[in-house]
Amino acid sequence: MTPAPAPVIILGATSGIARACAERWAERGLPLVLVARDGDELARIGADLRVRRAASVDLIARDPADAAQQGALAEDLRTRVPGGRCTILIAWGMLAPQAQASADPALTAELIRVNFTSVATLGERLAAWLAAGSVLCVIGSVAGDRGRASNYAYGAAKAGLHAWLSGLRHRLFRAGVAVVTIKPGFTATPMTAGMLKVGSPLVSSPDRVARSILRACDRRVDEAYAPWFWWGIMAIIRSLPNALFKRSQL
Amino acid sequence: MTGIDLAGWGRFPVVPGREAAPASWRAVQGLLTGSDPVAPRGLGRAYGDSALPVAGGVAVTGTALDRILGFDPETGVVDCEGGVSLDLLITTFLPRGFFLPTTPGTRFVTVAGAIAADVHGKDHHRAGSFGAHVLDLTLATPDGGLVVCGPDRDPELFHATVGGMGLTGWILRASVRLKRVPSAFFRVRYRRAESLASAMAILGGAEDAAYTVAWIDGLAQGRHLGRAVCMLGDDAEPVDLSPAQRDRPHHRPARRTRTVPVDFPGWALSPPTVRAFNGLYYATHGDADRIVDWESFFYPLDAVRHWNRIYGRRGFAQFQALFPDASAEAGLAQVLERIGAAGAASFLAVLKRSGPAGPAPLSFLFRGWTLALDLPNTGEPLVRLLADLEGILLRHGGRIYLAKDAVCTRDAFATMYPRLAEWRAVKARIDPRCRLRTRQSDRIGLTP
Ligand SMILES: Cc1cc2nc3c(=O)[nH]c(=O)nc-3n(C[C@H](O)[C@H](O)[C@H](O)COP(=O)(O)OP(=O)(O)OC[C@H]3O[C@@H](n4cnc5c(N)ncnc54)[C@H](O)[C@@H]3O)c2cc1C
Ligand SMILES: NC(=O)c1ccc[n+]([C@@H]2O[C@H](COP(=O)([O-])OP(=O)(O)OC[C@H]3O[C@@H](n4cnc5c(N)ncnc54)[C@H](OP(=O)(O)O)[C@@H]3O)[C@@H](O)[C@H]2O)c1
Repeated sequence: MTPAPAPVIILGATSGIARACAERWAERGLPLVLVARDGDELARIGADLRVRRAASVDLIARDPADAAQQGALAEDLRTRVPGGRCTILIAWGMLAPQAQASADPALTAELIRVNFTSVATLGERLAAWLAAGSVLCVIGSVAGDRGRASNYAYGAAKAGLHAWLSGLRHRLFRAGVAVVTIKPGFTATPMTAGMLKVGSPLVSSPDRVARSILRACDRRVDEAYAPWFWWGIMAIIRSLPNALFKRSQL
Repeated sequence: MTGIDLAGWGRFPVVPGREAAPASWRAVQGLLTGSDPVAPRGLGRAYGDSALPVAGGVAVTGTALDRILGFDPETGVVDCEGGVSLDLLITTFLPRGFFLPTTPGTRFVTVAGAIAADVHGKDHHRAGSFGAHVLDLTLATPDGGLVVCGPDRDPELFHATVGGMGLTGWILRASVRLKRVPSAFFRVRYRRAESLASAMAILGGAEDAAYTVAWIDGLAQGRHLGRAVCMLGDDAEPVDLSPAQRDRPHHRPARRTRTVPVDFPGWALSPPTVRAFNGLYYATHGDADRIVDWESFFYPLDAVRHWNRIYGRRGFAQFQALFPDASAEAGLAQVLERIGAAGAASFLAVLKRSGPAGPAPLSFLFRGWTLALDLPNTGEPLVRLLADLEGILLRHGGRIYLAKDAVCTRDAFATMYPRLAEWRAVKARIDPRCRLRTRQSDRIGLTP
């Protein structure tokens, strides 16, 4: 008998990108555990996966970014993964116009909490029990590669996240746990509704990004841009000297 | 929210507006309780201005809410969100032996759009319209609440929503009874008719056939006026199929779709081109019996994506009329003559026998005959032509289909739909401040 396939746990499962990933993992017949703070939306997403993809789906209606609930959540998840081997995707995140964040210190702090601190605190609790063969995949952003005038609070939180993931990867390597950092470019999801140019070749569908995510998890790569071509764009943007960059409209 | 140009399928009219595509029920409720008037929108397949926001308003599009919430394989009842397309229902459930209870001529419409226009298909004489197969639905209402209604649960609201063009609440979900089908194929008898009277005789004499329709050559005049190819279809049983088809009777045969990449230039649809096309169509469809797959049978136009670009940048109008039995032949003949006299090029026109009216006060069809055709936008001449056609309808006790309309006047609408007051009472109860409004509803007097 072949062993039961390792489950896939998606945290922040109501995200547009996460939903596309769930569909692709369900297509492969993998059992899913979905976690999100909005229980009603979560139930509808779970129902759709069951009816259309005959998926096995467990739902946990909890805010994964809420530090006060993270201890119980990590414990709940541990009991659902006998042997501790699984794939975990952390997908939640929050974007706000920089002008608003600049005017409102509480919003700046919230952007850093939701995009960085909350991921790090839950990540530590998960890392404590993940067994060899597991994958911990976290969605960062190209915005974390260089701070820009239009979204530097968000970008800084993602940059902190990237550095934190790099350290966790270093630590867990010997334990056989892969830590995968995904850096999506512009993606058409509710997060960016009304902000992106429809039809632009730089805007990807959530499904396109999901393909990159599954591929990166399959190959246990350390860092991946999604889609891959953002690697080239960000290499150029990162290499611009500050004297030039600060005058640019990027 | 994005500021863009918005239009229906006919791209006539085109208006500037904003569009939002909420991805959660909460987001829909937020938009409904905001300050701007809301025009519910699905896949934008209504031809005119049914889903266009008024000035300062916002189109709230349902396509991101496209989740299937439940399915009972015993009864065939599917519970789904309003943004689910008929295409998704077919690709999900035809392999399991179920098909739509009735379908319009394109599968790229949403369930909510199908309910809001109470759409009909080639089987209206047997199946009724789409609303007859809806068991209940959930509306987001302008007061921020959610209301469930159905034929036995607040039936006034339910029937005002079926055919109510999105004006009684934003349809979040519905349960719809699908029908079990023996296969994905149809047995079709093609019969040529030399004239309008003979087309009506063939369709009228074939009410035992599950699906009936006639494609009329809209340009034939004189003694050929109304010449047509009639199609009489029934579900094909496995015994009707080839051995390969019989192995997997619900399998979807792979088909190529083509896309019209750019707007066609104006001359492409000049009367000589269309006359040649229509003549060829008539000549190549002799009497025959054939087995046809569901895509070719129900959705021949869907094989060409963006076919509306054929009409060029100026767009086109659809005209769909319904005449009661008593005046149908005379009324239809006058419509065809008037269009011929205008030299208004139209590809094939579609003639259908309709069954009895359903309970919904604004639903389009009652017992009679309905004719639909495309008319390219020629500016002023088109407006005059449509006004004349409206006059013919009024003189014959007929009415116009709102999902295809872009020009009907307030007075004409009130005459055509005598149960308007009944509908208005529900609108006043659910949406007293008229937050749900469209260009069309303001024009024909459903709002304000
Ligand atoms: C090629 C073609 C063939 C067609 N054939 C037929 C046919 O055979 N029979 C027939 O009956 N019709 C036919 N139609 C018309 C089409 O079925 C209807 O216009 C249908 O309503 C379109 O649905 P939609 O999702 O595109 O909605 P839209 O066109 O976007 O909107 C149509 C109406 O539905 C309302 N609406 C949309 N979403 C919601 C929501 N979530 N809540 C509340 N209201 C909502 C809108 O306000 C609007 O009044 C055809 C159209 C085309 C393009
Ligand atoms: N879209 C892009 O262009 C883009 C580009 C680069 C990176 N990303 C990253 O991709 C990930 C997925 O985003 P998406 O584009 O799929 O966006 P999305 O559809 O808007 O999803 C955002 C998710 O984050 C959750 N969330 C938002 N604010 C929260 C809060 N304060 N507390 C807890 N959860 C919260 C949302 O939950 P609710 O549904 O309950 O609100 C939802 O699950 C994010 O990390 C994002 O930063 C996106």
